[in-house]
Amino acid sequence: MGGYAFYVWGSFGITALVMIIEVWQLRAQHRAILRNLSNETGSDSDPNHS
Amino acid sequence: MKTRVIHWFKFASPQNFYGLAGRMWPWFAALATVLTLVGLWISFFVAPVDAQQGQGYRIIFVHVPASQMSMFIYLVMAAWAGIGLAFNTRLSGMMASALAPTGALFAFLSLVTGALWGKPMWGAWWVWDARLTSELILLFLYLGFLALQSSIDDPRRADKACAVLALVGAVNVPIIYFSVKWWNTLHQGASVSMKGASMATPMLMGMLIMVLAFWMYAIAIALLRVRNIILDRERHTEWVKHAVA
Repeated sequence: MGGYAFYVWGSFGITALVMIIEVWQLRAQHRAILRNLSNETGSDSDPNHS
Repeated sequence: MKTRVIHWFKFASPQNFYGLAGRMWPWFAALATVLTLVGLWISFFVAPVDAQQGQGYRIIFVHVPASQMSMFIYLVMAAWAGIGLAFNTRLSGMMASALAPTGALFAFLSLVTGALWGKPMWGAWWVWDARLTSELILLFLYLGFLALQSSIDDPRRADKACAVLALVGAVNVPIIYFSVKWWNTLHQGASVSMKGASMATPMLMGMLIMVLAFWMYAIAIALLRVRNIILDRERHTEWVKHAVA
């Protein structure tokens, strides 16, 4: 990378990292909301169902 | 005529939009993935080395899309907020709230990738240049929006307060955009304008495809997040109980 490796990979790396964390956080949040809802309604359905 | 109007407003109800968003997000996610792969391939294997900046210029392929999205998401967020204030539609506030965290992340990425670009080219991670400073203010506006949102318990009241903040803050977006013209900045001017682009075609293609990829990503993420917001806010309604049962 002609001496720019740290800067180039750092830029692409942090962007990828932020995006992966954001997607993961939203999926986890969705599962948590569904889990709480099925607990509240007392249903025994699959909590991962979307 | 009347039936058409009703048809359009059908998706303004959170219940209907929840289903629509659930059907739409996988398409945008798939498009984002494909465009990112093509964009990365062009960024690293097709686009030539820059005459002045060598390999270092490749940061442009994430820096420009992130910066552009940080500004555009703010305008879309302010537009939803304005619609919410004008028509008192519940979904509008939810859309504005769904966009804010992603906009904040893009503003953050714009500043970080900009610092990583500035250090080797200018010799400084940060300068108090008009472009950089106004982008930093954009990040603070997003953080202010999110803080205000979480400080008001009633979501409808929070939406209204945040809408005013979003609309007033929108004045900053043209300031960021035109800062490189209005003031002497260390930051370079626009590479793409109405008169054409001042860069090699593969570089331009790579940049445009990455911009499109970020667009698709932002839409998919906003749809995913608005689904969570809808479920959370409507959790005591019958339709949600039926939807998860």
